[in-house]
Amino acid sequence: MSAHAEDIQAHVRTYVVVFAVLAALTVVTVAVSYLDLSTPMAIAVALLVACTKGALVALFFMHLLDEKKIIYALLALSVIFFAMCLSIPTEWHSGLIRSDSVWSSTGAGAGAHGESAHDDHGGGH
Amino acid sequence: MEIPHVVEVHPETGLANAKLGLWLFLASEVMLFGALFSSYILLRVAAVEWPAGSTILNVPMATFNTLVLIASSVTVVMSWASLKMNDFAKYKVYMGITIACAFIFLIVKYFEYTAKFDHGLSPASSTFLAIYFTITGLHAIHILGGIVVNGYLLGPGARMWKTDPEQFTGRVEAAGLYWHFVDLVWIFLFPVLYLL
Amino acid sequence: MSDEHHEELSWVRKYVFSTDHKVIGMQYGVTALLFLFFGFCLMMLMRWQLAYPGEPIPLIGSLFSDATAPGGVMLPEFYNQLGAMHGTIMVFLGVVPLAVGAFGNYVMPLQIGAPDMAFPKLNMASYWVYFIGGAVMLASFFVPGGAAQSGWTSYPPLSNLASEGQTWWVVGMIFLIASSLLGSVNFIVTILHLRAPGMSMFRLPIFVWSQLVTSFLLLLAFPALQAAGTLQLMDRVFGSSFFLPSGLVVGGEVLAVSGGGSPLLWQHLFWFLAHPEVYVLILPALGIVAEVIATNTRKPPWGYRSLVYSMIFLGFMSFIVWAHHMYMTGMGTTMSNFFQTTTMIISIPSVVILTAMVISLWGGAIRFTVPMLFALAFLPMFGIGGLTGLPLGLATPDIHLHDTYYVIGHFHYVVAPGTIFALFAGVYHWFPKITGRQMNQTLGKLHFWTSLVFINGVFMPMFWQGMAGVSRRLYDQTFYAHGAAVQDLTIISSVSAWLLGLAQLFFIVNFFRSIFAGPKVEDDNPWQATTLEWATPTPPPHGNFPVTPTVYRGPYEYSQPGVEADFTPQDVADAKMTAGKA
Repeated sequence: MSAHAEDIQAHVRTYVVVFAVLAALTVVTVAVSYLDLSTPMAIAVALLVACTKGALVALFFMHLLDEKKIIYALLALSVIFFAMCLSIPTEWHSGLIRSDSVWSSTGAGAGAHGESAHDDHGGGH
Repeated sequence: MEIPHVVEVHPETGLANAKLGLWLFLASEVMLFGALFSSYILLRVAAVEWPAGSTILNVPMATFNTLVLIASSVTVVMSWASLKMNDFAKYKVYMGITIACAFIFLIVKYFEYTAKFDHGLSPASSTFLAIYFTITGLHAIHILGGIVVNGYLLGPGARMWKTDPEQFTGRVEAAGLYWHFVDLVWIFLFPVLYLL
Repeated sequence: MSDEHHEELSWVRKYVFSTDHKVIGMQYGVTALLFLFFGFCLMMLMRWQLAYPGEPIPLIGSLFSDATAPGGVMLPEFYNQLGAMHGTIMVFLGVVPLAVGAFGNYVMPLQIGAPDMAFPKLNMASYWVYFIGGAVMLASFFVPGGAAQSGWTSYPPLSNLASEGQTWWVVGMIFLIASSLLGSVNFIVTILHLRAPGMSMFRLPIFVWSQLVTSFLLLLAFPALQAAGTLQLMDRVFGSSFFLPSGLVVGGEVLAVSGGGSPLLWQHLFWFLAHPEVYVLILPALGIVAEVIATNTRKPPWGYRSLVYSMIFLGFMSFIVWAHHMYMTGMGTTMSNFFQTTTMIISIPSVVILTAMVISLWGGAIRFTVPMLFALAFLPMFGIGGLTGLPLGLATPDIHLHDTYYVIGHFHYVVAPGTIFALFAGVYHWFPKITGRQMNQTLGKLHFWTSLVFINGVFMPMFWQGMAGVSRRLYDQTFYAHGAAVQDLTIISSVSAWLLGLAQLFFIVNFFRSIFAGPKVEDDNPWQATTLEWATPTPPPHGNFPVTPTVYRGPYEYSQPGVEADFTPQDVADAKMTAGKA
């Protein structure tokens, strides 16, 4: 174990630097939120900062910078399925676009879109 | 009966059992929080209006909590590095700080929650508050789990350092990975719920 | 296991809180068989109401309380409870625990030559968390308002507004999901790390591959339902509105909730889990059938690699077909095209697997043992189940068939004469290894033939009922003219179901009799099989193998040219030496 002591010392210095960057990024993201950015812009900046922070934690603290192949494979797999899971809202949205054209005149609460579209569809045919 | 690869790594994967198991568990956790984030997006896209988090939630408190959690992430990795350098005393200090940070996080969270309840705000108030309480609540349960595991490794579990230091270091590494993941989730929760 | 390590464990540590994968496997097996039987009884009650609506249940009708069946006549609410709980129990407490928890736990470590699972304590925890989940589900029958009544799919807003039993259902599900998470982590680490020397991935028996793919499905798909369950629990206990839209009218009044939620969110999250779940039900069954067919045809199964790759591909694709359960929710044509395409694609590996198994029979010296009969019946039954699923995977025919008895017929052909037949094959196949005794072949054959006839009697009429438009959740279909017209078919189904129940007595009697009085097996390898589980003493001791085996060859070396015996076990170094071992 002690054979790697010097390696570990180098690691420790990295951890401190990464901590400083993470703290700075936290301040940045809060500061940016006080600027009057448009919503898409604000989302883009906030997610960019969050992804950077997340990447730093994963790469340095969780040692993903230098990890075994099987862990990369496993993570790739869960990222793919994570993306599929995130596609759920997209899929819903696609239904929304179509149903809007059918019943846009009613303009009920958006939360009820799915349901109302369904009912309307049944009644309309 | 000996279970193989408890300590020595498997020649094909290059990992010991606990570490592989922990990464599998984290993959599952990614899907759990992924499904909740996905629900958040769906609800938000569907909503007529969605409040900016900062108008309802306490951003300074959450910023403080973010820094606390990041600090604990550093200390937990330092505690593992201390074991790697054969410095058990330092390990105890760093692990102690990690657990203290976790408690600070929960105490701040407690004040945040009670402030909301005092204003009559609950999961029943709006979909935004509902998803806020659900995801942060689930995250808080994960913090509690981390306190239990890290507390065990600092307390009764630390005896293993004397009998089997390598397996003990492996356990600390695995617990650390879990703890980083909890930190990672918060790094995304914070802007999504409080700032956007 | 070597004697110097031997320590006497107390009875409780040995049989109740055991960490031995074989004991845990048996615990899973017994519990799951009991749940299967219980779920079957719920269904037999439902079949009475369906066949003879409004008439008192004979014999046992007077045993029911006034809240469930006053005067022996089943109330609609009670019928709904039976339906919801039959599905939940069969899927989550019966078939999956038997296929994965029992067979996976018992057989998989033996087949890879491991001393136990990678995390024995986690394995024990997995069983007991499952047990708690099952107990919560059973207890829900006794809470005010009875058990969950919103179907096994628990669609909101119905499930949000249902009585207390639904909360118990959600809590029970959260336990069951936690259990399968613990189990799947354990299975994957065990398969990747604990293989005996020489057991490379492509020397793994197909059953082990099926468990590996299944574990990945459990690991990555179940969290979606965990999330959905958490949201529903919040809705029901803390009054949030994740699944309740604004302005929902119940009983003529607008519901007093904040609203803004989406009932479709539940469907998405539920099916994101539940479609992979379908493959969790079927993959271990395919694995068992492959083992039984290879052993009983005395030749290697055709296309080992294509079977393995097909299973992996099936597992992967099962994550992107979920919305084919939701064509009726008004999704856009782009999306329904996408999901129709993926659904057609996923049928390809299923056909590859089925075809490979049928070709495996060609030219084999088939032994018609009881497990082989069940495995042979599995092939056409699973085929019917799969082929009848194709029309449901296409949006246009699905508009007519959605939520009819056709759907019930389709998926029951997959899981009942499909998976459950394979599980029976597994019980008959591995019983001698587990108990050291053989099951009675005559009773087994009686069990097989009666089951085969009656199970088709139960499910075949459902296709016609469904095409006649009878909805799957009706309490009394004779209320409608189109339902009354096919009531005769319902009666055929019901009578077959009761006879099927009687046919299981052959199995129950055989099972218990054989445990105590079955003929002892003289050889550790009574079927003359090649895989490692037969290389252990019978029954295998704690630690499994007296000496860690070394693997020299693939899993199915039957009837190799130049070898006298018609099988060469995996741990035999020189094939010619095995002659006469049997």
